[in-house]
Amino acid sequence: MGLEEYRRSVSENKHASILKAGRKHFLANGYSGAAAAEIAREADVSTATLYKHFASKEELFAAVVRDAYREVEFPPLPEHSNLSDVIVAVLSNYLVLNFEREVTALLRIVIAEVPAAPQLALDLFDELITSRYQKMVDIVDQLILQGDFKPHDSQFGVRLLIGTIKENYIWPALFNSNATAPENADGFLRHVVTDYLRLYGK
Amino acid sequence: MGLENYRRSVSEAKHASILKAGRDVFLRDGYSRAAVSDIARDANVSTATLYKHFRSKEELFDAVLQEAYEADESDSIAEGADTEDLIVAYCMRVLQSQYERRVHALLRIIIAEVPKAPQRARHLYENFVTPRHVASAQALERLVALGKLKPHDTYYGACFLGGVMKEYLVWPALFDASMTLPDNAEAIVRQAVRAYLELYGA
Repeated sequence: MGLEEYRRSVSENKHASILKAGRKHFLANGYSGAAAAEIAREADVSTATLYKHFASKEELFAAVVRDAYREVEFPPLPEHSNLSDVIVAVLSNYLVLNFEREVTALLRIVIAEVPAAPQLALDLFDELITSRYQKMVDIVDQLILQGDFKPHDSQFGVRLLIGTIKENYIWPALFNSNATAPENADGFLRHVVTDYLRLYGK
Repeated sequence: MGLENYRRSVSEAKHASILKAGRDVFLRDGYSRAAVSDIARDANVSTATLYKHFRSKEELFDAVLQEAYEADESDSIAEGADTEDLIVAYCMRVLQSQYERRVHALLRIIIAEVPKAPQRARHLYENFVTPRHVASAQALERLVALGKLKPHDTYYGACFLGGVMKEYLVWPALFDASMTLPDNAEAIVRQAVRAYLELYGA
């Protein structure tokens, strides 16, 4: 390993451990209550190093939220024999990851900080929520193109699909710090997908 | 006016001004940081008087939420010929009242309490937020009884309608304190109600 490469790997490790420590502290203490100095100590770096990686607490927090969202994406649909099964699987995966990655807990922090940090909330909403829907919209558009769905307003359709699920599972979790992934979500998800296919399927 | 009446009317006026001052201070400072002494001062009463009307800060905040969520008579689904118009009007009344009474800002305050005071947040969610969902399901149930909707799971129905409305008009408002009810709100609601009626209309 060359010196350059070694340095980079050390830097990446530090980056990751700051992110991990930040996540832990934000979840435990909220945004205002989390102190950069404590996050640096937990990550075993100096505060100066922390600020070299993240210019501000706000930037670190945004990176923590982005990181949590990274995995909670809608992947391209796999090859399928049964459209309904595949959509249920995608939505189920979304729901489980949402809870596993504690996305709702992080959103709670963003929402609580709206009065103090309005721009942060607006940016994260656009970047994470709106743009994530666009991925799902692209999937639906693709299915329309393939002839799996009737042509329809896919922006609306995706909000219908995800909105119904969020209303049942994510909205209550926003108010419940102990919420865990629902165990028998498949019946509900199937109901939503069946309705969607009744409306827009061929 | 008899003395008794006079006393009652003074007391009611004080009650109302404490409620109003409480609401303003909670909206400005959040729940934890709101000081009862500030609320009493703004309401132009002594702290002792405040505690005569509301035994604790908790009880005062409950009353503020109670007022924000209070249904007026027009909240029930009216009789009328066109089911689509009936449901759209119902949804619009709920939305307008939420925006007018700054319910989203109050929800943000509850959400901020979740990590610190989970029990308290649960209490608020169950007593003020959940009843609205239940009321919507009951309103749909009445339309089923009137033969305007097919018999169906109206709890699910409330998730369907509430979910898509929240996607467009409530979730964004949680992240954006300056959001007002957009001009196309009724068009969005109508699109959701039409999809719903296509599935569950009689």
